[in-house]
Amino acid sequence: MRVYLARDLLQANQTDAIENRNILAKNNTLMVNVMGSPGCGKTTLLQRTLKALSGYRVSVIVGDLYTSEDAEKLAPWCEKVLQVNTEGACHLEAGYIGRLLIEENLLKSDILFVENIGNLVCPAEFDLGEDFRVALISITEGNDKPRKYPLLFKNAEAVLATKMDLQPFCDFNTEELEKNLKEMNPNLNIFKVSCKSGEGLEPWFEWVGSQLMVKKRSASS
Amino acid sequence: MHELSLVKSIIETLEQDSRSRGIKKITRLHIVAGELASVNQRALEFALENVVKGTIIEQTQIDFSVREAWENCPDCEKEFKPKPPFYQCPGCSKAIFPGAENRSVYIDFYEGE
Repeated sequence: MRVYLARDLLQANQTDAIENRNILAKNNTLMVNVMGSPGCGKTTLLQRTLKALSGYRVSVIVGDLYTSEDAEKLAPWCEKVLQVNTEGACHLEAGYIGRLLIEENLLKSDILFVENIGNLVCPAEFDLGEDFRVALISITEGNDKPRKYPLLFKNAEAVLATKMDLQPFCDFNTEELEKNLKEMNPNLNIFKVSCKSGEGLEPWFEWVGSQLMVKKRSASS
Repeated sequence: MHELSLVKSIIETLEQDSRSRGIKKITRLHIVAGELASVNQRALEFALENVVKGTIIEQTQIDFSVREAWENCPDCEKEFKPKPPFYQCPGCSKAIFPGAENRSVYIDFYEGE
């Protein structure tokens, strides 16, 4: 007997992601999936961003293989922070995020940031049900990273070039970055920031705030 | 990609489906990966060899195919093979995001008794 299934083996995650998206929309919570390589500046960016969003109810889920160091850094700046230790898994999945949304009462938040595992490959393949993705590339990583790991950058709503204060010491070409990114996705919002000097952060904060306003307006209409 | 996770998903899917149909033994399994699915065939075969002991597919003949990726440009409607890193239409340069069917891995069919 032959049985045709045509069953996508990653369908389970996609089903969970759709459920997350629905429940976030019903509760008017904006979820942002923050991705990038280890050390690109995700946690530091979130520290600065959470401080700028202090007028809102903000929670964070942080994914790392081990330690709660990032959660400890973010705790003073948000209502709730949850550290997920995967102990080996290289990405977060929608099902687990969905459980945390309910069990940890995260749907009362205006914004939920998910700091994904530091990895340019796997997180791109797993929809968490987020409203949008933000991809970081520090200028110390080199111009070739978006070309080498296109899905992560292409499918983001915003890309941040971080550590711009190190520009005098790097060969990084921001024009080349913007050209490559726009070829991948002409609608990408690109920000060049330094969390150390504060350069470029205000437009990023304003953009996040505007995304939240769009979400609130669409919920009330 | 995550070849071990894929194998786990294969085993769970087949155990459930074969049980619902009263199939006791799976003799053949055909898996298809989209060309852009980032599946390493050798890694998948390695995972399959080492993880299937004691499962419903322990004695199954497993075949693996790659499906060529084709996309239709939403702007100029040209059919083209999307190539990383830009996945641009060769006709009008529009950048597309590859469709799920070109990035997915799925069980095409299985045979059992």
